[in-house]
Amino acid sequence: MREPQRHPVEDWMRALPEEQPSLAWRAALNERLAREARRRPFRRAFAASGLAAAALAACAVWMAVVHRREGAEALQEELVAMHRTFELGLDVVGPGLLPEESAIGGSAEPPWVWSESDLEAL
Amino acid sequence: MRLVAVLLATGSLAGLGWTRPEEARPLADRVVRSLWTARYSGERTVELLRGLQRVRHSEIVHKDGAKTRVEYLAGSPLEGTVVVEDGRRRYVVRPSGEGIEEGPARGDDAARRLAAMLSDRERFALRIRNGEIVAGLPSRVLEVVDRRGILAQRLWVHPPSGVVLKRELFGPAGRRLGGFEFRRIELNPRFEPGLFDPPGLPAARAPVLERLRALSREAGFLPAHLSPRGGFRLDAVMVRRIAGRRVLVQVYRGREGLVTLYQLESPGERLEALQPDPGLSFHAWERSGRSFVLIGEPPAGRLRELAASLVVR
Repeated sequence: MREPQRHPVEDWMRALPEEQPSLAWRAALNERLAREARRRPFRRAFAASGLAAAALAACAVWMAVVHRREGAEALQEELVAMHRTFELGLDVVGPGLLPEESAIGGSAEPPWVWSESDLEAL
Repeated sequence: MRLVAVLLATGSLAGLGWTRPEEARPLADRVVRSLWTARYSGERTVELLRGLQRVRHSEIVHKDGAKTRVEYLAGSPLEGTVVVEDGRRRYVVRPSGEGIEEGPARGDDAARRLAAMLSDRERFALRIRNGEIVAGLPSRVLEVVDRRGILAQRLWVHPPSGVVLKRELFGPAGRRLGGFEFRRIELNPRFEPGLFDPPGLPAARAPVLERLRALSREAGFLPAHLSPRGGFRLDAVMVRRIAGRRVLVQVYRGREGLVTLYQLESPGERLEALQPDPGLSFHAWERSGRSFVLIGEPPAGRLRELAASLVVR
């Protein structure tokens, strides 16, 4: 029987000396892997906190926009209400003073504000 | 059956005291005439709805045609304040000893507005019924109703003189917004000489524009106002705290109605983006680091014209 033909590369590979990986290199690799493993949660936490901060900032911006709009609406309502009071007041008081004219400067509220219950008690 | 229905309807109308609308017109004409000719002295209570609250005070009114004098009674924060209109100019004397405030007469404008409403047959209908005794005088009640049947005004009129003894004004949805009622009144009294004369020395009088300048200086606002050529006259000026901010308020009157100019301490909210109130126009802009808002009945385009005419001096 003829022996099967052997490839020269195979022979060359067999001829190479068998080498065990260095234990020092392996230990270094293990340490590095451990370090990487420790670093990952920190990175994850950092990424998560960044995301939360971004969300908070977006929330704050949104709140500011809403608050600003609500503030603008409240202000506009007050301005319109005061104008309506002037219109009505001039019709009612004629040449007399409007409640808002109790003093030229001062607070927005006239000093003599009566409630419905006060009037009912009269 | 039809006869019974007619009789029932007539009976119910009679029960309410309503009479034929044709009878309302002559009384309305008498009211309009009396606005410029009536002579009386009386004490009345004035009530205004302000937000959810009703503001109320008592005053003594003397009227001699277009001339009026209003004195505020004891117990009112306005006690001691006197307002005199000589038919052309208006003077306010405050007990604090400040300068006498001078401005254009107001009464004429209020009378003109009521006269316009009573005469506007296209927009308003009149109803009339017998009224109760008011301030010791008999009255007839004249109601001004819009096309939708919503009550706009109710007047208790003294029929012989046309003097309005009591008046109630209603909002667009028929809510009572304010009014006045005389508690006592004397028709055609003998007035003291000089009752309607401009008070004080001319040098002690401060025209409204001067007051605006002084107030702007004191309160740190721009002395900005609408041009007098724009068809509106400055009527009142004051500083008020509105929605937590200090605001310089100016009220203007003209043939086109009433407009209010607000100057806010600093630019803030973008007010021009907001929708105007129904029936009102709204224009907001910024100038020299200040926010301005103009509100009134004229259309927004007209308000923009007025805003462009803003004078700072």
